[in-house]
Amino acid sequence: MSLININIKKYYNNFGLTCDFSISNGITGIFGPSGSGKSTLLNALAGFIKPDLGQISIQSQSFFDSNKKINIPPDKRNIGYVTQKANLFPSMSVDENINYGYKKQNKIKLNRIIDIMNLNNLMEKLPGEISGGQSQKVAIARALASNPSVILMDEPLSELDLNSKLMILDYLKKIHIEYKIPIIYVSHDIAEMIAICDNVFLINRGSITKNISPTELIYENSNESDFQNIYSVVLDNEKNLKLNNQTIQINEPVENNHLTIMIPSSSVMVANIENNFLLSDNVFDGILKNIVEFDSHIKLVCDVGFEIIADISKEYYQKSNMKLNDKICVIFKSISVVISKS
Amino acid sequence: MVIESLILTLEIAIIATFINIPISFLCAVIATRSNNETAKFLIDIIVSLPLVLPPVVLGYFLLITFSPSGLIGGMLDALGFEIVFTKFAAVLACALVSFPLMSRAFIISIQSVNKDLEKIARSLGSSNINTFFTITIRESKFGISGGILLGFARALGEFGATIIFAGNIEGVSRTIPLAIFQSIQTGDDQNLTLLILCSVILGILSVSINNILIQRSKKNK
Repeated sequence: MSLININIKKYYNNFGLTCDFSISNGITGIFGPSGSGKSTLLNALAGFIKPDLGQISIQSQSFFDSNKKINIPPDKRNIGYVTQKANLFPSMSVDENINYGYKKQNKIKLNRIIDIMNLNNLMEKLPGEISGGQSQKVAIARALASNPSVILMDEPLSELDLNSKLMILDYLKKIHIEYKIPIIYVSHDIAEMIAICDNVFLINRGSITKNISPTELIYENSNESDFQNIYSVVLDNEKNLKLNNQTIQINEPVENNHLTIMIPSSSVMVANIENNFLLSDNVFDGILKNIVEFDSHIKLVCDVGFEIIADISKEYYQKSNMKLNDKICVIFKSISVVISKS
Repeated sequence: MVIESLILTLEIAIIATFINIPISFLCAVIATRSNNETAKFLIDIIVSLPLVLPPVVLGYFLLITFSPSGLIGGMLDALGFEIVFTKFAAVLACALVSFPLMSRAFIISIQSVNKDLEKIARSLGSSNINTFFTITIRESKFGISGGILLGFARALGEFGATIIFAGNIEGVSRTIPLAIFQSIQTGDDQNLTLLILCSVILGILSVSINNILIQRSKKNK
């Protein structure tokens, strides 16, 4: 059953947003290039922009209806909003920021949010005293504390470094598992989308063009040769991680039971040979699931018990004579595995 | 004479500042939050005019408005109130001259608050008015305090409008600037030195506190 129904039109002098789609539970991605209307759509959902025509309803409650002249103000919509910059209230401590929208009758308990997001040591600090990644964690906790029915995230990781990005993805998954609040996640980063979304809508020039699964994004639009394979993993022992029954070796010991890792596609090697004579710490047998050709390089989608994308040169691809569904071997060094640090 | 002038100056400047705070605040709210462009344009003129006109001209406007033959003065005279050449006239003159400094500082501080903070607050369930007071005003508090101080400092040094509208009457309207003028006229060098010293100390204090507030405001962003 659809949770959020959106059918709106909004016209500007040089741009028009026309969207007609429905969103169900889970984490829904809105993917599109800059200026495609992603943020305008979120602003309309949150009530900061009034559409010219149409309807918006969330959990059967009408938030906007141009025919019935309904336009519920943002403070009555119960929608969490996380922006690109954390936008913490500068003169308030982390504690005051999180408490700003919190009401005691909320079913979400503040202490639990603080525990999940690991914010206990930051509560007395001012936003100016914490890092960008920590600020974004606080912003997410603040949105959660207001007990929202939906959380809108407008490119929340785009200004963060890789480690902070992995850390936040880690926390986002944790909160989604714990609270099951639907999230609408806007980004133009394919790796982020694949890592976190259950379902993706493509938006271009103000219109929703397609509804696809996150992994299909790779075929839609990625000419970048530095794709990030991002996974949620479970700790097996201090230098081994479990991912779908496969063991990934890492370079440095870790303590967290659940973490997010990133393997750059440029560090992944693919060969159409058996692995029995290869000496490397991460070698996996599998099948070549897809080949996507770009101007500068080729992306190979490999299934080795988990899906991993590798970038190879056109020359190597031609020499290797690899074909779809070939048995292949995927290799990457443990040192190339980037691990989230809380 | 010096102590009396100092106390009178502080008294008049403080009252003028308190009169200006709500008016400047109202102007700042209209200038920054109103969707009515005409209202914004009018506020801009009201806020800018006292800044560009000579204080003597402002004093003259006050005189013709509040004199018993003037528009407001006539009504007040009928009710038994007389304003011209009183302490209240000095307060009004100081308030009018210092008003643009305070209101402009209020407008700039409120405008400089990141609009996304207000959006976030709204999404967290805060109403428009609550957001304005708990976020906008809170985040612009150093700029607002600086504006109050700047207005107060300007009121301390007001001369032109006061002498025209309130005269130079000892114990009524003879603030430090007017007392300095009096001492120069009468050649009272001893009092002149003390009055100038008072004036300089008050100026340095005001500017220093204002600078501290500006620094804290920048640090807070």
